[in-house]
Amino acid sequence: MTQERNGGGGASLQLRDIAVAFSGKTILDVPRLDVGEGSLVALTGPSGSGKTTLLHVLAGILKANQGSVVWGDTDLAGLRQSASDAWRYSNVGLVFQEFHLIDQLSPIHNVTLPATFSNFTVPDSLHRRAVQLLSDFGVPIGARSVKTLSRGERQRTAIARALLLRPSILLADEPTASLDEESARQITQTLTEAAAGQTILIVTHDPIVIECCPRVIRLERGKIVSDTATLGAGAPS
Amino acid sequence: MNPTSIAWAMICRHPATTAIFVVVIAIAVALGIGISAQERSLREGSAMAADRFDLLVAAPGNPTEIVFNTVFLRPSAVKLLDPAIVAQALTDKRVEYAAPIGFGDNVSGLQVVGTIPQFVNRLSDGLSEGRMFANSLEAVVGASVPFHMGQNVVPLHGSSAFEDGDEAAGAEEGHHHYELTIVGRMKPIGNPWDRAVIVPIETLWEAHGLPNGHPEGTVQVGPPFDPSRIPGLPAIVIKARTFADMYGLRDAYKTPQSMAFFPAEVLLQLYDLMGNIRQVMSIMASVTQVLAFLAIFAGVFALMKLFETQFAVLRALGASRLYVFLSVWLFASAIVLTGVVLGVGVGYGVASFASGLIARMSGVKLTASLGMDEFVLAASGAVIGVLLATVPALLLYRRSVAAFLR
Ligand SMILES: Nc1ncnc2c1ncn2[C@@H]1O[C@H](COP(=O)(O)OP(=O)(O)OP(=O)(O)O)[C@@H](O)[C@H]1O
Ligand SMILES: [Mg+2]
Repeated sequence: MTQERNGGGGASLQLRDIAVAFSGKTILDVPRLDVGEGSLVALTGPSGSGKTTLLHVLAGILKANQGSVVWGDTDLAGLRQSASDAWRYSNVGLVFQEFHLIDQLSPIHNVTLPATFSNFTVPDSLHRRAVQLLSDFGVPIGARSVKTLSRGERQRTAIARALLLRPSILLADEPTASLDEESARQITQTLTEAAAGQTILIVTHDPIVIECCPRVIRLERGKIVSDTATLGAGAPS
Repeated sequence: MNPTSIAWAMICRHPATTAIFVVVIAIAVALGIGISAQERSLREGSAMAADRFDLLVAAPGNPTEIVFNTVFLRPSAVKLLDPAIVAQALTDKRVEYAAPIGFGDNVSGLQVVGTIPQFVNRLSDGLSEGRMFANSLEAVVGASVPFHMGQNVVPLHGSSAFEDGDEAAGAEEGHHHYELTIVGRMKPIGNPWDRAVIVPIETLWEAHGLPNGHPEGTVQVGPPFDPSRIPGLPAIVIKARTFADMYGLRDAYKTPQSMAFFPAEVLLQLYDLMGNIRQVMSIMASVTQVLAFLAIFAGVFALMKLFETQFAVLRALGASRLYVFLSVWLFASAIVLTGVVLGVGVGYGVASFASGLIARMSGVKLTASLGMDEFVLAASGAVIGVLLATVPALLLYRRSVAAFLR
């Protein structure tokens, strides 16, 4: 099984005519969104505007009612469930707002967990990488369970888990929510540094995060209402 | 793919619930295993105990009672066999030996049983200590009798088997006390005879003022007997010279004055009864098992609700549906298998305990063991459980991911 795919590089996104509706109500309506390889994009907007929904569509977790999501040369709409799982495994790193770590496992086990999706034993190289990531992030490696970690440490463990397999796409849902300013800054730095070269989309309300992102997309009621490049890098088309 | 750490995390997250599931399954399985092992232990133990009692001849009556009297030494008043029949049997040419069995007296609560040296040898295959009794004042003891060699004991007259019917009237004044010297000890035979004091049949006849089977004034132990001086007896154990003679003898002693049967026939009837009891209990055990599985099934199903988010997360992280299926299945199967293994152990333990208890009370050597039946029982429980475990696994497997990530 491939363990370190894409050589740390990113993937480009072409999204067309995406619409998601729940019980007749349109939640997301994005006619067009392009993101270049290796871009760092902040996705912002009021609560309920469809940010998480969009992230799920981009990750292939949620199938849009219509439209196409093309990452590199893979059209997610054309993938069957198992192919979509395999694609996500190989290409996407996800960070959830609530971390969703497994409390009963140690930080290192949480981080290496994705390796057990395809391997019976965690390969040495991945184990070493997990240890490296956790120590880089300042997470106590000796902890018996992630339950004993602080909020910031848990969030960083979750980020390490998302980065373990060097995904070409990193999708993070409010990774700094309910963290203090200092931790938020750390996390943002961690994310942007550790994932250099990867295509990163961060859902956030946090000005600290937004400040770091060259491109900021704002959603309101399921529609993109603004798309601004604050710096030159990763500018929209 | 290796979902064991997830399955383990599930167990760790709800250790008490998991433990309760395991215990419930263990109890249900133990019930079935215990009943099955205990029944076989009773069957094998009683068959072993009756093994060397080839053919029994007794006065017409209840064969079961005779088996209990002679094999298991639980004496009850039985009609005596007609002396004429006894004489005929003891001198029959087709027998290798015909062993008279008499009882009724006791020494410190131990049965005194009268018979002939040949039968003692047949039971014990040679003695473990001392020698065979050689006259009517000597006795051989069963393996677990606490008397030592050379010890003198004085039996008490019980409600002797020789005192029924016509003989009862004149018998009382014929009694005389007698003293026995212990001269030998039998090997353990796994039968209540292990706790008996065995004397020559002549001793009992003489003690009860009856002719001793030999010409007046003769001191002799065992055959040949004088047909004209043989009193009645509760039972005779006959060993035929040939296999064919065995059936011939049985038919020959099925007369209006006597019955003849193989103890195995009686035991088979008992097993039949035991089998019926077992069947009823097994049905109860099965119902318990089904209920246990249903309860656990419902429990696991409820538990799965709590794990929905966790599995959605795994799926979002790229775990395949198979991975999720396997982790739930592993979790449920681990519970089932632990419960079954524990249940087999507990069932065996309970059967061993019950067998030991019954053995101590009855003197019949019982050893509970696990055999094919128990293995099949446990294996089918395990297989059903493991198959049932796929249901919650399948249900979870089919859940949409996004809905549980909110
Ligand atoms: N499965 C669903 N069924 C019905 N409505 C849904 C479903 N999923 C999302 N919605 C609705 O879609 C809208 C967008 O939800 P979403 O979670 O994408 O918002 P968000 O921008 O991430 O908000 P927040 O910032 O609070 O996380 C919400 O109004 C939500 O109630
Ligand atoms: Mg959200």
